Amino acid sequence: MFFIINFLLVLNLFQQPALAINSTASASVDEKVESLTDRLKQIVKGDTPTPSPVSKTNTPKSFFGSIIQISDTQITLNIQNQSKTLKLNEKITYIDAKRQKSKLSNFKVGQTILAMGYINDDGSIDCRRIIATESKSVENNTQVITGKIVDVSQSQTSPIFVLIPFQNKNGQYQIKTDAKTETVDISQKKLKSTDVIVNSKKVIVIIKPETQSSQTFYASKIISLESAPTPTSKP
Amino acid sequence: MFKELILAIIIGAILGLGITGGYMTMQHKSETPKEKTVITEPTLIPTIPDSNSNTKETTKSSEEITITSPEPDSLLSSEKTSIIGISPKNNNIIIVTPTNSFIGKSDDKGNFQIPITLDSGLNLIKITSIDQENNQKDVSINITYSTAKI
Repeated sequence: MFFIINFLLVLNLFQQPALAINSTASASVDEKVESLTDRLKQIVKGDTPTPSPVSKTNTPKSFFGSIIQISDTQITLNIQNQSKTLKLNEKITYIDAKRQKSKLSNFKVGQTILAMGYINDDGSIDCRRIIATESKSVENNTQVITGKIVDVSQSQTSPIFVLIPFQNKNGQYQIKTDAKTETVDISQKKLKSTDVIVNSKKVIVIIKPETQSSQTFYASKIISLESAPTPTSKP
Repeated sequence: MFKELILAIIIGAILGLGITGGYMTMQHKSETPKEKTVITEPTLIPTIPDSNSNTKETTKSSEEITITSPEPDSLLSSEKTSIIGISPKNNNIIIVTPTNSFIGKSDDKGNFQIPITLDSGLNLIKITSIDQENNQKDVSINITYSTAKI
């Protein structure tokens, strides 16, 4: 009898505690997993109006493109042949081309917009502001050309010259200037236009195409690549 | 004889239970880290956003000139900012916004930092690097200046 009791005690010692620890440990782990998952879900749901996982630590971004798809929940934007998804929510401010407050229904496929917001973890945009923006209003058709002046002529008050670019010696630009055209050296020191716009001078020219003629450009700034002539003292 | 038999059973039982208990304990310990992995396995691990990859593509479009700040497609609340980047050393750097132009030069290490003033709204900024032999490299980035709170 003593041995049987002893045997049962041994069984108790080895098996029961081990099973108890095991079950309580796995139960507590499961509970922690569940509570942690629930908490994380709550945080994500509570912080964002849409169910997409948003990372708010990133800085705000803006994207310009044309609308290729539009629905109540999202807009697909074509940005230089790459599509970007804008997630929509009730917090978004819509602005039309006249800078007046607008609404989603006023935006159509093909329209170009500037969208501002934060990038979600899935790469979509958590959109906050959508502004109707025409392509023409944001394009920058200014060019920077480095070349040599080959022909200078006077037109009314301001000189016109021809520039042969170093990168394409077969091409040439006919460039107009006016009183607003700045002439400087590379250290931005102002120079007289008559010292810069001369034949054989190497220059960097910042130009825009003329509205009247695509053949002629207007120079907003001419930067001399040669140092300014130093005044010579008389003998 | 009976005593020996009982003793043998008990010893056998103790040994058997001991080995089984030890085996189960070892198994439990080896399973524990796997469970921990499950706990910490993140459904919310932040993945690298697409914008970062876009940033790299945009800023490394030319090997000759790289813009490090601001990031492409940045939305800034101040009209004053600086274009920071790397080009071949001692290059002339010309920065053109839709309405302004800015001149600078890269240093002996090729670094440059040129203050600029942004226009309101979207700015398509062109950055040109010109070396001593008048070779020219261009990159462009979009930066938006807006004071609107988003």
